[in-house]
Amino acid sequence: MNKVPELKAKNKLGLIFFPAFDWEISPTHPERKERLLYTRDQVFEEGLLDINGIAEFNPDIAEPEDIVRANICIPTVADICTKSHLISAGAAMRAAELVLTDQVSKAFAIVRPPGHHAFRLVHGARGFCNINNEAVMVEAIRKHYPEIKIAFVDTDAHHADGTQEIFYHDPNILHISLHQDGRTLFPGSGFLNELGGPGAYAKTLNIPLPPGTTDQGILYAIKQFVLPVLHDFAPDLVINSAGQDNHYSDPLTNMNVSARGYAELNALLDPDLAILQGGYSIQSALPYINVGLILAMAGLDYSSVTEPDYQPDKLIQSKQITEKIKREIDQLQQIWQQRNQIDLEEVYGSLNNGYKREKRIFYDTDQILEEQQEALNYCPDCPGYLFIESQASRGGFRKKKIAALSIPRLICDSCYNEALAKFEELKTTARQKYDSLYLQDLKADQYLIHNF
Amino acid sequence: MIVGIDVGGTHTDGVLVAQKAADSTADNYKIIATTKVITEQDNLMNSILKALDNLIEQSNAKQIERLVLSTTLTTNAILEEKYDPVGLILIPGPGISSDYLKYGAENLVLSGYVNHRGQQVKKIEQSEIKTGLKSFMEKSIKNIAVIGKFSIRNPEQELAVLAYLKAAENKFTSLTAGHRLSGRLNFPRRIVTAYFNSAVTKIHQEFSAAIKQALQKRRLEPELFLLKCDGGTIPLADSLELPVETVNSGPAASIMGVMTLSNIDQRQQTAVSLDIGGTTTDIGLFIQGEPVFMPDGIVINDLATLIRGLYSISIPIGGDSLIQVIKGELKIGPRRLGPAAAAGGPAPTPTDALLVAGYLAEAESYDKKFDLKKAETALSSLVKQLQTANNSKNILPTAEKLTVHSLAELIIDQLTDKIVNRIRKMLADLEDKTVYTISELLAEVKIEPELLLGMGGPAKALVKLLAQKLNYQAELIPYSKVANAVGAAFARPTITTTVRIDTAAGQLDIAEAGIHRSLKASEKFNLEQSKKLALKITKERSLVKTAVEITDVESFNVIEGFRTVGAIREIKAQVKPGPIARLKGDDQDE
Ligand SMILES: [Zn+2]
Ligand SMILES: [Zn+2]
Repeated sequence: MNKVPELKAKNKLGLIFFPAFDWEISPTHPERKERLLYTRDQVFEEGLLDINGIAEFNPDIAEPEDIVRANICIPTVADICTKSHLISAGAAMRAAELVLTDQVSKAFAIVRPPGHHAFRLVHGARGFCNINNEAVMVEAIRKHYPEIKIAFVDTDAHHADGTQEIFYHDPNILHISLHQDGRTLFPGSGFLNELGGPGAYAKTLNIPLPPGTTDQGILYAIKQFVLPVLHDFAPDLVINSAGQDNHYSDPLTNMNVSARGYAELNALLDPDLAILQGGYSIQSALPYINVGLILAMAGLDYSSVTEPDYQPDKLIQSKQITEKIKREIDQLQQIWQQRNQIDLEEVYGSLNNGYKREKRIFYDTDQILEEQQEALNYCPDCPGYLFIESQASRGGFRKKKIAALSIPRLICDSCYNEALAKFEELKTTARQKYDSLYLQDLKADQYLIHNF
Repeated sequence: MIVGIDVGGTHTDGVLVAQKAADSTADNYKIIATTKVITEQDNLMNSILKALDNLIEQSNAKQIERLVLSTTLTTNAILEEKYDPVGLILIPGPGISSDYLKYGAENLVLSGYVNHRGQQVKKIEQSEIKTGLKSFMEKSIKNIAVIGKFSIRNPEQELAVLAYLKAAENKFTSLTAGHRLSGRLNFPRRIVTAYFNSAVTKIHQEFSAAIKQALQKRRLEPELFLLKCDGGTIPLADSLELPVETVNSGPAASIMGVMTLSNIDQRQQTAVSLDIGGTTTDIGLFIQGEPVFMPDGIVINDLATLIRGLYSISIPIGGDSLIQVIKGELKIGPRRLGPAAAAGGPAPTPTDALLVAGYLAEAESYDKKFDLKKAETALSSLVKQLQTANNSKNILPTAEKLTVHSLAELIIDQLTDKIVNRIRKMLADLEDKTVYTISELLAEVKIEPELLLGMGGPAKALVKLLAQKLNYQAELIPYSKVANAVGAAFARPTITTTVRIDTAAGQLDIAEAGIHRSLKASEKFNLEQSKKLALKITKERSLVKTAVEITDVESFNVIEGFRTVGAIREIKAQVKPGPIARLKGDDQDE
C-alpha cells in the first residue's frame, strides 16, 4: 500500500456541529430544517470527522440564567426562547469552554439559529435571531475570567447590530463588523460613525462594503485594517462570527465572496472560536464554505476547496469598488490611530448627564416595533450602568412598557450602589410609568423582574 | 447438520450441530461434535479441512447441509500486505487534496465531479482514462478500484470508467466500484475500502475454488457461507463481489457465539460480554439483546473503512499476561512470555494469582494441570521486588506485610479494575455519541447493562469478581471453548439497504443494490411509500425470511426560491444479525 501523507490537524479543532434537523421558523423560511443538510453531507463525504485532531462534540443546553446575563427577555425567557435557542447558545458556550479548558486549541460551532441580530432587550425574533448566542457565551466566559479581552470579527453580510449594541459601552470587547453597506441591506446600520459609547470609543468598528465586493475587497479590509487593529488591541480571545452570506450565490445579499475567500479570511484572522451566523445559499455555498473553514481552523490546506461552479474570472471587483473600500479603510485607520487623542465631549456632547441613545428597533421576523431609550450613566472609572426604557407594539397594538437596569460585572462601587438604589426607588415610585421593571445585575449575578 | 468453523490466530475451532431426530423445529439443535486444531498460518485451508474432517469423523455424518466459515484469510492478507498491487482511479472533484488519498501502487485522478445532490458537475474525460491505463499496464497492475466522490448519489461516472476498463484489451483480476460498498458518505473511507476489496479479491477467489474442490473430494455438498464482520453470513458465491466484507470476522463470531449460547436476543437484556483469552480480553455489548455496531465502520491496518462491523474492543490483558514490577509498580501485560507459571510457564501471570488466591480451586473444567507451588514461587519473586523498591504505590497496607496471598488479591484487584474502567469508558463513549436533532439531544441516552456474560479460560473465576465491581449479574457462557464456531454455525445472512429518493431531481438510488434510475412520473414516493420500498428491496435481497426493519429515516423538503419543489428522503433498512436456529436449552452443559 502506498504511503500517503497523514492528514493531521495542526490546531486541535473542536467541532460542534448541530444542524437542528428538527427545527425551523417555517418550512419555506431561509432558517429551515435542511439549512445545514448539504453541509453535513459535504463534511461527511470529505471525511473531515476522521481527521486526526478534529473532534466532534455535542452542544450544551444553556439554562435561562445563562441567557439573562446577556439578553433581557420581555416578558420572560420562556416567552422568547425555545429549546433550539437554548441549544444554539449552549453550543457557543461549549465551544468556548473547550478552548478555555485546553481540550482543543480552537473550536467551531456550526449551529443554528444564529444570534447576532439579537439586542440586549429582546421582545421577539429579529433577523432570524432571538437570543444573542455569542453574548451569552461572552458572559459565561466572564463568569470565570471577568477581565478577559475579547475581539469579535463578524463576517456575516448583515451588520451585526445586536452584538454591537450589547457591547457598545464595553471597553473589554472589540467588535468589528464587515458587511454589505447598510444602505443596501437589512438591518440598515453599521456605518463608519458607529464607534461605541463614550466609555468604549473605537471599540466598535464597522466596515461597510459595497455590493459586489469580492475576495479581493474583503481580504484587503482584513489585511489593511482588521489585523493591525487586532494586533494593537491584543485580545485574549478572537472570535469569528462566521456568517456565510457574503457568498456570491447567497439569495439574500449582493456580495461576491467565494468559499476560498472565506477560508483565507479565517486563516488570516486565526480565531480561537468561530460561530456560524447567517448564510442561506444552502446548496451552492454552505457545504464548501464550511469545509473550507474547518480546514482553515485546523491549520490544514484548503486550497483545493472550491464551489463546483466557481469561476474567478466572473467575480472581478470593479475599480470603483476597490477605490471605495480603500477610502473607507483610510478613514478607519485614521480613526483608529487617533482613538486615544480624541476629545470625547466633542464626539458625544456633554457627558455630565450621561449619554443617551434613542432606538427604533423593528423585529422583522415577528413584526414588532420597539421604541427604546438607553441612558448610560457615564463614569470615568467604570463602564457605567444602563437605564433602558422600552415600549413595543405589534400590529398597532401597544405591548407593555418596561424599564430595565443593566449593570456590568466590572462596575465601580459608587455606580453600583447608585444603580441598586435607582431600582429600589423605581419599585416604589414608577407604578404609573411602567408595567414591569428588570434588573440585570452581572456584578452580583442576579436577575430580577418586578411586575407592578 | 450444520458445521461452523472459526479460524483464529492460534486455534481453529469447529462445531457440528444437528436437529434431534424426533423433533424438527428450528429451536431443537444439539451439539454433536466439537474440535480444536492448531491454526497453520501459511495454510489456513489445511486447518479448516482438519477441523472439518475431525467433526465428520466424530459424528459419522454422511452429509452436511450448511457450512459456515469465519476465516482470517482476507484480514491477514491486508495486515501482511500479501496481495498483488492495486491501482486506484479517483474522481475527487474539489475538496481535500487527493494527495492524501493516493493509496494505490498507481493512482489516476480524473477530472470529473458529482456534487452532493448527485448532479454531474463535470464530465470525465475518456482521454485521461486512456493515458492512465497505460501506466497501469506498464506496472502490470491487475487490481483496480474506481472511486468517485458522492458516487453513492450517482454512480454513472464510476460505471463509465468500469465499462471502459472492461472493454480494454488487457484483462483485470478485480475491478471494484466504490458505490457498491456501502450506502454511507465518506470518500476517504470509500477509497480505502475499495482498495482493500480489490486487494483481497484474488486470494479470496483462490480460497473459494479450493474449498469447493476439497468438499467435492469429500462428497459433501453443503450450502457454503462466510461470516462477515457485521455478524451476518453471506453465501460464498455472493462474497466474490465484495470479499472485503469478510475481514475481521473473528470478533463477530465471538459475539454471535455469545448471542446463540446465551439467547440474549430473546431475553432482550442489556449485557456486556467478555471473552477473556490468553493475552487479550474482548469486550462486546448487547443493548436490549441486540449487538451494537461500530458507529462508522471498522478500522483495519490503522485505516478507517466503510465496512459495517459489530462493536468490539480488545484490551491487551489476559490469563497469560506477563506480570512484572517496573519502577516499584505492578504492570500486567501486554506481553505474554508463555503459559502461567503454574502450568510450567516462565513468569507470573493473572492465572497464577487466581490460583494462589483460591479462585480456581473449584474450577474443575479447567483442564490444565496446575501446580500451586510453582505459582506461589513466581508470585513471591514479585513480592521481593516490590519490597526492595521504595516507591511502591501499590502496596496495601505496607510492603513489609505483603504476602504471596495479599499480592495475589492485589493483582486480581488491579486486573479487574482495568477491565471495569474500560467497560465504563466504552459505555460513556457510546452514550456521548453526537446527535443532530433537538429531540435526540434532549433524550439523554443511558446504557445500563444488567448482565456480564463471560467466556474464555479464566472467565469462570473473573466474571463473578468483575460483575461485583460493576454491579451486574454474572453469567457464564456454556461451550465457550467453541463459542466462535457456534456463532458462525448459527449466524443468519444480514443485509443493509440505503434507499435515497430525490423527487426534486427525479432520482432513485439504492447504492448497495446497484440501483440508479430516474423516477417515473407516476412515482411520487411520499414518506410511507419510501419506507415500503426500502422494506421491499431489502426483503428481495435477503436470503432468509427474517423480519426486515427500518433503522434510519430522513426526510427533507427541497425549496427553490420560496417554493417547495420536492423532497429528499433517505431510508435505511436491514436484516439484523441473529441466529437461524437455536440450541436446545437442557443440553447445553459441557
Ligand atoms: Zn446575515
Ligand atoms: Zn463607575
